[in-house]
Amino acid sequence: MTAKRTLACKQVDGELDSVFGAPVGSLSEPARRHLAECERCRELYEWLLRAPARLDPSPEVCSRIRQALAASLAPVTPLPPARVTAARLAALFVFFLVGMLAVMGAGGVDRMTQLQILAMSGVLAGGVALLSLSLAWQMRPGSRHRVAVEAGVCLLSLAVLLAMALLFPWRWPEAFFRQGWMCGLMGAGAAAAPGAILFWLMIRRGSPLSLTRFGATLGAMAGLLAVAVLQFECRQQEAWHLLAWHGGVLVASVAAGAAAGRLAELRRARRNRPRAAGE
Amino acid sequence: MTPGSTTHARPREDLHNEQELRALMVRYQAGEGEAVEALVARLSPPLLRYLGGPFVDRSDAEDLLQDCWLRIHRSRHTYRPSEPVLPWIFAIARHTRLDGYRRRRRIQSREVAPAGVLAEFSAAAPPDGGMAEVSRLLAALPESQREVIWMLKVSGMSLEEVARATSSTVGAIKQKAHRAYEKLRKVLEKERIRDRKTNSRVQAG
Repeated sequence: MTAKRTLACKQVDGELDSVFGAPVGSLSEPARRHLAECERCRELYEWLLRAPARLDPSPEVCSRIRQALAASLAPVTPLPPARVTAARLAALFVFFLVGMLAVMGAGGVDRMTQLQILAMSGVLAGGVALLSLSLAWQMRPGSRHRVAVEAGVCLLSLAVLLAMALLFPWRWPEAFFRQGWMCGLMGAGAAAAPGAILFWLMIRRGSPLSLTRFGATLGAMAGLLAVAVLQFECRQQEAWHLLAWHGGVLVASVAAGAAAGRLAELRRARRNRPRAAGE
Repeated sequence: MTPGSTTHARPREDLHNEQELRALMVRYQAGEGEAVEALVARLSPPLLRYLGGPFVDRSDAEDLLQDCWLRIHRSRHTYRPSEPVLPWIFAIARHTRLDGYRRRRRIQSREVAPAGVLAEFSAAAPPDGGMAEVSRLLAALPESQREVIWMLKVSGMSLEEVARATSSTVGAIKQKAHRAYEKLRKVLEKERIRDRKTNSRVQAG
């Protein structure tokens, strides 16, 4: 009997999804049979496909919009594709890192085993790729986000901290505060802050919709740069030191970036308020 | 509409075909005034419907529409001709709508108690008679599901495009849509049963 071969309501949901976005909606034969028999699904299907009535703005509003746009209608150059922007950001990261290590020396490399060098380089490279792409996606509204922004920043921070905790010995360093303070200061002042400015200069043409998320991602990128510089420069390769002073710079950078983004968002909201009210 | 039919009037048809919109966007980026006129004429009705939604009055929706076009104008260099237009436009519209909602809520919270605002918001009269049914059904959904269903219904975008417009993943949008379908089925069923009872009482009377 055909009735017994019809789909369950939940299976029909998958077919309803395919109706959206298609100029001509079509359902499979079993789904159509199901709709003919199931009143609940039929009602839902009909309601979903019933487009709301057309609503036209008043002619005055349309003309005001046209005048406002025409007043500053200059040709613009489109942003490059996301992968090009991401590659530029990654290249800047490597260039800055190599420059810093050339000036400060790479004493930390001598203190690490091959496994530690390989694993930390892998985590840092993965983080740079993820954050560069995330920043490039956020620059353009309507981009396809393969990884959510919050998930990307959290995953990266966790991966760096976990790598430090698992790969390095848990020995209490001799001058934990005196040495650590120097590391934290150098990481934040000499690497994270100038790095953030350079990255921002590269992405300032973008139009991120959430400045808080954009700021947090930029902060994570700058923090990761500081972690990379400190990791290969610092001679204290103990887990306590790395987690507190190197990882601390990363966490502080993310928080500072998010806070700066939030402040910029509030400023933008205040600036937009009179315009939105049509004043 | 019969359940077995294979063709439907989709809101997307109002927005004209994608290639045409892409060509207009390219001309807009090149600074052509005619392209601006065409884009404003074609995209303003669905944008106004989206920005207004079932809970915002018309004058507020028109203010939001102007704000949205200014944002689109400031961000026009971020559009890439190889990408679909609608997710780009609706991503900007979504943020305009969210900012507008926050602004309204802030203003209302200064005037009345927060609990009063929520009650007033949920009981707000729909802007026109045609929206009464939509607002009643959407009111049964949580905000995140309501947004997905509203965007799908108004714009006629695919799930993939809605995912782009909301900076989300297709899986997350699908999950929200499926949960919303189930809730909508229940609401529609309740309404059907109530209508039948009312009809039978009228007939018996």
